[in-house]
Amino acid sequence: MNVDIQALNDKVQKESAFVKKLTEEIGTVIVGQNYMVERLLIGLLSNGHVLLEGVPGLAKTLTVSTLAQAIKTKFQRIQFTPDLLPADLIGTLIYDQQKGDFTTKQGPIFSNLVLADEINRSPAKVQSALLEAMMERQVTIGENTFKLDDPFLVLATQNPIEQEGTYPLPEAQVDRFMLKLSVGYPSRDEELEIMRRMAKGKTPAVKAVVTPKEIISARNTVDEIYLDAKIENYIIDIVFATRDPKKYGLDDLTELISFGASPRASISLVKASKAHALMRGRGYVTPDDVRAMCMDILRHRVLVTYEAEAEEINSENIIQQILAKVEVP
Amino acid sequence: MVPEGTGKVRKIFYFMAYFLLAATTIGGISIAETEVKISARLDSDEVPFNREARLVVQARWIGPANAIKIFPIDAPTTTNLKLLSTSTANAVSSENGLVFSKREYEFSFSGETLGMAYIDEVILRYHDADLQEHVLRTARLPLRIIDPVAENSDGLTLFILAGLFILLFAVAWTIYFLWKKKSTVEQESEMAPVKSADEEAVEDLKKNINLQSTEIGAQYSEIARIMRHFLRRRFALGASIGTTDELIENLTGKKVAMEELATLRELMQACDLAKFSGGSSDANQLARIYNIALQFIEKNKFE
Repeated sequence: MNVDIQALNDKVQKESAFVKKLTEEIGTVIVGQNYMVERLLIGLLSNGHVLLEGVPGLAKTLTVSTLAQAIKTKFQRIQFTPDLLPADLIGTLIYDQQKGDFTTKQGPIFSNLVLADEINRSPAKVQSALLEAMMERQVTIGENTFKLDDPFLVLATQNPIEQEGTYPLPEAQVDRFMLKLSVGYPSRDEELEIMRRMAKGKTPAVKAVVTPKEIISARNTVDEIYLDAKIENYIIDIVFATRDPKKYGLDDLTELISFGASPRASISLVKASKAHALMRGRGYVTPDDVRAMCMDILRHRVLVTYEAEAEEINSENIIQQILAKVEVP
Repeated sequence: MVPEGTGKVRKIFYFMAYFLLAATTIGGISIAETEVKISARLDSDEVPFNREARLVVQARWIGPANAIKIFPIDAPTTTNLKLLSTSTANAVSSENGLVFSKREYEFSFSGETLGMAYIDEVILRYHDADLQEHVLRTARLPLRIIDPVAENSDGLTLFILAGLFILLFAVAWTIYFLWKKKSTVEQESEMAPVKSADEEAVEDLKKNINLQSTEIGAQYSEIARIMRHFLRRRFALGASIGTTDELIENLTGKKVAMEELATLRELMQACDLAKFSGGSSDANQLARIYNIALQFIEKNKFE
């Protein structure tokens, strides 16, 4: 297949021009956290929801709200609590006495960016309602079905500590998140800068530098990015290595992996790699893009055995070993 | 004994009865008085110096085993003999309605010197049923200690020793052979010239890259492979370092000038473009990339 790569590269560079603007605008409020910002953009560009895991105080909520302001989209933050009901999320029917009829009151999920804070604090019923909306991108209230806006992105957060009294997301549900980000602490210099900015008391105003239309256009371009057969096979090899490590010379991992990644991982890895290539201004995917996204795509999809837990081996260690072993094309 | 006024026939009857009673009584005393007979015998009159002499002392009587109480006997006094072991055995049998009991004492001796040896009497003390003590003695027995005989197992031992020796020899020879073989291989490999990373890379580039080839994509792939191999060898990078970004990141701070890194990035990205973009590769660019590769290797060869 003869691809006009030059034309594709030109288009990609044009469509991805907003990335730099957006990143800089977010940077006026958020110090550091470049990894988190970049991954949120990849989620946005590849139309995939993101699960953020990190201790409190790492600017997760602030980043998402800043992103929403910079894109000029609607943003809703939902604090998940144990007493939350599905109706609190998606909406409900309310009886209008004057009209004598029920009217639909849409819930906070009807937004472009939805921050589901501490998703693991709500019972399974509420989690299911959210996850259903994430997959279907529509919500049914009573007899009516309502399509959710585009772009629609759910950013859920989880606190890795304080697991008591929580309702952990089952693996099947976690799989629905395209990316799972592990948000870390800022560096020393970054924290100094955070202190100085916050000490002033005023958070700078964020200008909208991108429109939702540009995001959708960029997303369409992501779909056009060229994926060579060698890269396709590389992605398949990585995902299959999580299911059958012995076949790839990783005999040691056989006892450590209870379940490998699903086909959803392969699809997500393709989409995320393409989005990564777009953000680098390339019209084609390289192994660098795949390896850059592997950890975020696979860390919540590779389930480890008790033996692995006993040896303090987590999914990230396993993914690193797989990446080191599977040959780069 | 015979009542007064008893008739002749009755007298005869009484006498016969008394006689029978007396006989029975006498017989009972005979029966009650258990006679023990003792004997002592040696296996042979003479015994080789490297063999054991066995003395068996047997006490036998008619009646059950508990008819008499035999006291423990001491080992006999000996001359020119050393006591090795003792043992005791009891046996009971019956024949024609009579019970025969037997107790045997076995003593093993070995000679102290060649020549005559003697075993003095063995004294057996026992109580009969009436608790009367009796003492029996055996006779003194002579024994000649003669020259030792050849051991039958000497031949077997020699055979085993010979087998062990052969086995040891075979193992030693095998070890020597393997060591010699290993030394020869190492010597050959030492003698063979080991190419440096840059020499190998330049040789591969000149041998494998065909600038006139129509399969331009394949040429770029081969250049990328050769460069990766060179960088891993030259800068001791791990085998897992494979992508362009990883190579550049790992080379930063490894005595590679920033300009050279930029050149390397251009080179590797050109190869990536040819490999993964699906478009037609630039033939003019190939020659340029080829030369950049050669120059990079030249500038970064190991001094």
